[in-house]
Amino acid sequence: MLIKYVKKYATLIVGQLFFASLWVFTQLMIPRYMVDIIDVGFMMKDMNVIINRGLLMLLATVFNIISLMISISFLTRVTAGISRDLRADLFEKIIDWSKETRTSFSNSTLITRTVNDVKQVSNFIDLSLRKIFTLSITVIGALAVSFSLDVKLSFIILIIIPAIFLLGLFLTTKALPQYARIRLSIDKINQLFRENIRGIRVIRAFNKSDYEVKEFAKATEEAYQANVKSESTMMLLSPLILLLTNILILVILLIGGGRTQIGTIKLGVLVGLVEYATISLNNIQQFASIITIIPRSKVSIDRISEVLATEELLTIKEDILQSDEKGIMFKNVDFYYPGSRRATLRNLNFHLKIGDIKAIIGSTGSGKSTILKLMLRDYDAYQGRVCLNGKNIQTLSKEQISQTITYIPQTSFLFSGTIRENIKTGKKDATDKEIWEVLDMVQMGDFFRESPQGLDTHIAQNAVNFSGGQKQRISIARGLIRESEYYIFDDCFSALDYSTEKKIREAIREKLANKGVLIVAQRVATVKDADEILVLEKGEIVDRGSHKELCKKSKIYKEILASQLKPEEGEIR
Amino acid sequence: MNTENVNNKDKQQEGLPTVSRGVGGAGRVSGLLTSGKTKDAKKTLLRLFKNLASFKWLFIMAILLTLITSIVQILIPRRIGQIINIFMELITKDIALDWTVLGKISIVLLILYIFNFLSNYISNILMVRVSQKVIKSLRNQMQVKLNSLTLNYFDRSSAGDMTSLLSNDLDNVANTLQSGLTSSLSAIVLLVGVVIMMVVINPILAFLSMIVIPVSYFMVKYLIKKAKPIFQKNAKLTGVFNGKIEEAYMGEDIVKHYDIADDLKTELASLNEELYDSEWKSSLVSFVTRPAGDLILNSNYVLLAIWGGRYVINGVLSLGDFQAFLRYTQMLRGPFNQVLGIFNTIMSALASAERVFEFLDAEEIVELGNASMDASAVKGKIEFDKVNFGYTENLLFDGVNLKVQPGEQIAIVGRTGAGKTTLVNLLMRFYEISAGIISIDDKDVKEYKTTELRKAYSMVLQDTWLFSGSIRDNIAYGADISNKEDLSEVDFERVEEAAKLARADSFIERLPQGYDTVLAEGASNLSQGEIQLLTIARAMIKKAPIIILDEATSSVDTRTELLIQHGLKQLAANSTSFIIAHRLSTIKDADRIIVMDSGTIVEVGTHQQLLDKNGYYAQMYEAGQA
Repeated sequence: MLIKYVKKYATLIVGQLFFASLWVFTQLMIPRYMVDIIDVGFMMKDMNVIINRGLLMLLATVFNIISLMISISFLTRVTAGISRDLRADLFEKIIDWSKETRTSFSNSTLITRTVNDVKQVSNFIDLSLRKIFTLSITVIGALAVSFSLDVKLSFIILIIIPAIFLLGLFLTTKALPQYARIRLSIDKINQLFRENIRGIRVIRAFNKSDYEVKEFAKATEEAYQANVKSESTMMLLSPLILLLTNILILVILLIGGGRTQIGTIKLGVLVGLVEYATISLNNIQQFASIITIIPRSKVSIDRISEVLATEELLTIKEDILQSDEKGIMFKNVDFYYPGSRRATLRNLNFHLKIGDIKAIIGSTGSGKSTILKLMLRDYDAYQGRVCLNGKNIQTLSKEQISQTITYIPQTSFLFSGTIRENIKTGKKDATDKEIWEVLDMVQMGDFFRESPQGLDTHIAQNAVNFSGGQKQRISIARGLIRESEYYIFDDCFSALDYSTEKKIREAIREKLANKGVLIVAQRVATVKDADEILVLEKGEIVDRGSHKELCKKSKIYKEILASQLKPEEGEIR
Repeated sequence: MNTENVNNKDKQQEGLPTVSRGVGGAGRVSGLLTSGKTKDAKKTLLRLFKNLASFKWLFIMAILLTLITSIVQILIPRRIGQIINIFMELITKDIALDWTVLGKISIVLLILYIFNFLSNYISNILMVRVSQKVIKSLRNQMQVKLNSLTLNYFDRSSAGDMTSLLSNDLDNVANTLQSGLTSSLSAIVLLVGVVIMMVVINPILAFLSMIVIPVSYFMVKYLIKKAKPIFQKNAKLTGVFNGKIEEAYMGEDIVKHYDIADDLKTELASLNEELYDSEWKSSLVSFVTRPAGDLILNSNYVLLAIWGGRYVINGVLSLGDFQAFLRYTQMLRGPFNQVLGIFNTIMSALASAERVFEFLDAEEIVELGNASMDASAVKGKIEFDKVNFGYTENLLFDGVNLKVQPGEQIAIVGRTGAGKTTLVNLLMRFYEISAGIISIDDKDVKEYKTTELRKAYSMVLQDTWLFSGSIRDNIAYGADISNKEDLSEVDFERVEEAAKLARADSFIERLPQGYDTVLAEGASNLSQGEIQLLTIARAMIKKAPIIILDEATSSVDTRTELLIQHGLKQLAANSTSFIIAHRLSTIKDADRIIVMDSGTIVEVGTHQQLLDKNGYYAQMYEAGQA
């Protein structure tokens, strides 16, 4: 999956690797010059060689740092670029999904995948290009230089390298599961504490303080155990490798030292070998630690791939059955939510035409909103047919549906920005006059006229600066400004008081006189003026008719009415 | 992350010469940018040590071993220098190799190595144990405290602040205890020791190598300061971008059905481009500040090599000492930065500790009585006698009187802020009244232990709280159990029965996993109405003699609400019950309706009586707004 994204930056990566190699090379040259300083400069007492090699060292130092900076400036462009590309692809994919395709992903996981997982992958690429590459060529380079200095002693280094590598690998692998355990237990501790704060009254009302304290103590004990266990292992690593390195140095010095006398090795070479041995061991240990971290990035890569590989389930189908019948039509529709055992809708039939005002009433969870979702083709997985103006909606594009039907949702979601921007979501080229018109219809015109910023009044994230009722009204206005044949209102009057609701309903009735209107609600007052009211109970239409008819024949409608009876409705009955 | 830290530490400790290994402990440098304020550092420190008291021997051992490790580390390069000097003499003076001298030094070195290894490792793991024990104990203290704080404390404080005490402040203390303290200590010892060694070897070289360290340090600090705006800009852009993504995902209905997906794509694409730009710049800056500072140090190192080389040729300095000196130069870097950062690290940890201790000192509930309660014998007669109460100094209740007979169903109505919830808060003894008496069956509730008193109530609160766990466990939570393990012991029939009473059974059964459905934190996978039904079910399983429903059905449709109330009436015909409702239509059948306004009971009576009275209630009813 990643290869495709990495390929785009091939030139930058080659450049980065080149300068990283240069960085390693200059770094390895510095001890090499020191060898000459000792063997030629000190032994022959040649100050010129010392100054000459010293200046070369200085040059190497400067080059070393410059090449590091260049390689990093390439690298950051690669990692930031891949992050950008992944974010863009994920976002554009997700935003086009239908509800049905999106069922298996919650909003929070989608946000995590677009934000945190992308970050993880970019860290992984950074680690591979910056660390893994330089560490491994450093080890190889250090070995190469040591072999050029002295073959016999270099073999000792060569032998110990795999041992250190395996040791590092072993200890890190052993500690890794403990790190996962620490993370989990810390998450648990924080979660329990947060929940305890949130639920403090419930916990006290149910006398569960001791229970919560016990649960928490279990989590802190778990965190303690995991910490002690992982640290006991990980803290062994660096002192142990230091010990081995030190012993190796001593061995090299002693073996090599014996040979200085017979002249088979020079002192500077010996000092150089010690140096290269240290570099090799230090790098190989880091290498071992880092490659064990990498599998953790795989989780993130997999989660991103999963999103990118998920294809839209709702394709536009071919359909021969077409009729001239106008309107929105449901024919024998049964619907189960994915994975659910019980039907949410059963044998649903109705027909909404231009000029109609129809309504659906029912209890919490009776399936009212689901009907609207099928109408908008959020889901396809049902039996029966849903038709729009004579065509099965499965043969229509998203745009065709959304241009014919305006949906005003139950949860009035507003974007952060100005009120003007929010209303314009409904109609891109809306004039201020049109915006005031719809705001007046939802009884919010005066509110914004009195507000100092008028249409530029800012709406905060999640619209926290507006009440539930105000949000609903803005959301309705945003829908009313759209032009379409049908308007469907999904229980979006619930937070309004009766008198405001009545005024809005009258305005809607006037504006949408020659459109098709469907209103879903829990309140009788909201639906009683409709031409036809469908009473929904457990996913089935149990009764249908006008308010008057239902007052006579429908048991459930009467129960609903009784639970809400208000003096003003008393007259109607 | 952890492995990388270990490696950094590793680099500082070994002190072997490599030119471009860089300044260790750059993390400390950035640590300089954060600081904390303490009101009374000494007091906090003492209290922190008090928490250490039970592990004081472990702690002292760890500190001693840290000191030993540092001293051993200082001794090693000199010994290596001795070996090199021996070889040097062999070559220059052409004498035979004295293996006994060499063997002696080697054995000393070997012992130092092993000593270094053992003391280093043991002090590390001791310190882990000590700090983790302290943290565990502080965490547990915090949780115990949480459960004994007065509710006034919760009213005053934000949940985020309290959680941050646990997750950030306590962590800060733990990290400083675990590594900060010992590594700072060893840094000081190393610094002093190494400087002494360097001066002993050659004072002029020592001086030359030391003046450049602060220069490099301040250069890095300066660069980091310069880089700060770049980081801030990046952080801000990231926030804006993530916010946009979040909104686009959450507003999916509008995005899709109002055809604005393409506009959003264009908007986010340009934002993404900006983010790319700031992202690579800020990570470049964060990578580059360190090597830039290193440039000075490394150049200085090379100059020292040349300068020292002159001494070697002139015979002022032996080759071994030269080698050792260069190693000491390297060893100096990490500790220097650390010592400069140490003050800030410790102050910030103390500030954190102080905040934690402040929390641990907050006011607790005072238990007045210790009588126990036999819930099954409670008849349910309740009386408020001249009760005074206020959340602040201003009294909300001033001489409230109320008598409720056993088995009565009482509805409480009134505008927001009228004191409806306060009434039940006082019944539950969530708050202490300032005057008057509240009694159950003619016994003052203060005579009971609060936990005993609460056995008498089944309560559904206005704030709907469920824990993350299965639906079944959440309902079973209401039963009389005191361990998480006992949740599964609660009969499934009881859970089902409670769910039926709460009318929650039909939606639960429609969920793919039914009663085993796991709720996410905050039960985000259920609708508000469904959550309310679950909290009712949880209260139903308790079967206490007094039932309180505080706006328990505000998000449930009116018909279901009525059905629940009728079910309750049949089930608990003898129970006294209080129902707070915001919809008048559903409480018409209550035995008595109490109408409240700004802390006083203004009217009491049945629905019809109150309508006939044509007072406050009748007004509310006509306006249809309560």
